[in-house]
Amino acid sequence: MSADRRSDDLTRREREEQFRRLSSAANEGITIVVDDCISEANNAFGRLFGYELSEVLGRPLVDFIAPELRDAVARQITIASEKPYDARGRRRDGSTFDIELTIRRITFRDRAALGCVVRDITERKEIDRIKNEFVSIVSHELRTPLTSIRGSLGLMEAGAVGELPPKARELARIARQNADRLIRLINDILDLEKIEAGKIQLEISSLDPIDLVESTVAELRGMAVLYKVSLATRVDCRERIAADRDRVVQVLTNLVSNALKFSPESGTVAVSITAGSPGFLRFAVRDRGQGIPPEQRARLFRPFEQLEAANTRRRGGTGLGLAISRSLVEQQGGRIGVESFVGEGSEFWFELPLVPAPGARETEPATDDSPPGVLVVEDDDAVARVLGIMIGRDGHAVTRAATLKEARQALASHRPSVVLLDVKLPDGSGLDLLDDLASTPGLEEVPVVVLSGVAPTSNDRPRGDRVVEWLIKPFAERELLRALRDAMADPSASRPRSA
Amino acid sequence: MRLLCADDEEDIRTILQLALSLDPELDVELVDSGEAALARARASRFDAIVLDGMMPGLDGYETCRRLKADPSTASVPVVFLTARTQRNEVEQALTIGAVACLMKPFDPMTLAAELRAALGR
Repeated sequence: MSADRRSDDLTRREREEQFRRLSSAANEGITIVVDDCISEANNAFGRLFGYELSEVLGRPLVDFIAPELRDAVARQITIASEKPYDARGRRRDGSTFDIELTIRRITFRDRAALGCVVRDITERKEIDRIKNEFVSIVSHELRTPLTSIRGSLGLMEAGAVGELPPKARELARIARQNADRLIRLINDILDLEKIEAGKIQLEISSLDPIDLVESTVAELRGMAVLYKVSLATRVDCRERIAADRDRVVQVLTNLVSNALKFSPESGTVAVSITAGSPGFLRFAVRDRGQGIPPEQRARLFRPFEQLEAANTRRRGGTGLGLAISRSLVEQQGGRIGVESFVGEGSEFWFELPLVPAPGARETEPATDDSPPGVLVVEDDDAVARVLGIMIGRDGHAVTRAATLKEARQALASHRPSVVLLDVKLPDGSGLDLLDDLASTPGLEEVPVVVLSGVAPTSNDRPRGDRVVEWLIKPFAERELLRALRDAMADPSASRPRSA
Repeated sequence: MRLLCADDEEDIRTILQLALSLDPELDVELVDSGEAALARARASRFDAIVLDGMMPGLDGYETCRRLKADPSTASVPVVFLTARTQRNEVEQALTIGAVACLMKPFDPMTLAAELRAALGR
């Protein structure tokens, strides 16, 4: 053995020793897996599963996983995605518990190996459960008594049960207004929780931005009169956007009503539509209020971060509107921000993706050098655009086909890692593509995620043996990305073309 | 217009009675459960039925399904008045045959008008 080699071995032994010391201090279970079996592990790994360290060495990693999840975890091990993955661990006594697994490829003693970190997430899961239970209680148990309170106060204030003396009527008005505020707060908390948990389902379609602005402004005319502020609109760009109508109106309503509340009397609030970043449309709401100091702007879009100026609470906001707006815009593939000059007013803006012009393609045609990506077969330009943004943001290349014919052409030049398939296509049923995949050598095992307005019928099922997921529209972004990740985790799907 | 309203909360029934009596053309009968709503709807002819979504025993959704499955009550329009008003819950109500889903808490002074608008009357 040469001096260099001895020196290398020494360095490696030193590194391994340092690693052992470091990992022995960790609370997470850390293990190195060679040929599916545990080659090294720290004390925490044994402790998590109720074993002595010497008892875990040499055993297959899947022995420590709940039996019903062993196949799924084996697939994760195959792809070693490096992304944390929730599973259930199995202790020596047979009991199971929630774990998070992170697996990455490493080299260990000159051999291909897997580094695996196991974290006990029992506490996190319990917190999630308590949070969901709390949200459900807020949703129903608080709204029910509030219905009685709000109803009684509304009837008294309006004199529906006999005229009240002026002072009593004033008190009924104060109580009713605060009941309304509590209701708004509850609705906003529920909305934000739902959006941030990724549970919100988006109905993406091609929308006329002028219609969105006009209907929002029409709804808020009464409020503008109340605050003695005039409302103006300006349209510099008429291109259609790919978004969820109700959710865009919700964001616009929030920004415009904020601007009205914070404008001086006889001021003007201007709503404009202009070209945004390439491929995006920009909506902006400009007020002539007192402006927002730079150090406070970053906090604005966080929950319960109303500015500390003396008059904000009196404006009746819940402090959640901008946080909700940010989440809604981001979930639709857009972004939101503010520009402001102290003493001159603020401009809140957001950008949403444009529907591509007819004939334009979101992505370049795939070549042999392209990384395997997701083939999105979807005829609706608006839906395809947002799917492309969501999938792209998750780190995958996207190729789009708008018809069965285009999908066949794309498949002839390129094997995708997953096909995302709309059923209703202009030149036939997307399900016909399943037969093509099944009969084309090299493509038989490409996993398919189906997008459909309806659940599969008994006729659809037999040909769908490569269909790993059938998503019903509208779907939440999180559902879509989970389905794609699961499809990619399918070991047969990750085999190279020659396999 | 004869209305049948089912809500398990006594206080809310009191408010419904007062709020809907503001419209002199509404003749309102109140019951406290889905079971009672089914029995009354089968025994007498109503122009519309208003159901609370969450009720112990037969909830509003199941009551609506049974009303729609019974030829004697299937044609009576159903409106939900519910504290659960997320989009998918509204869709669920519409899928099982309701014509509209109104939200709790409601404004008692405009409830009758909202109901009429929902029923197209």
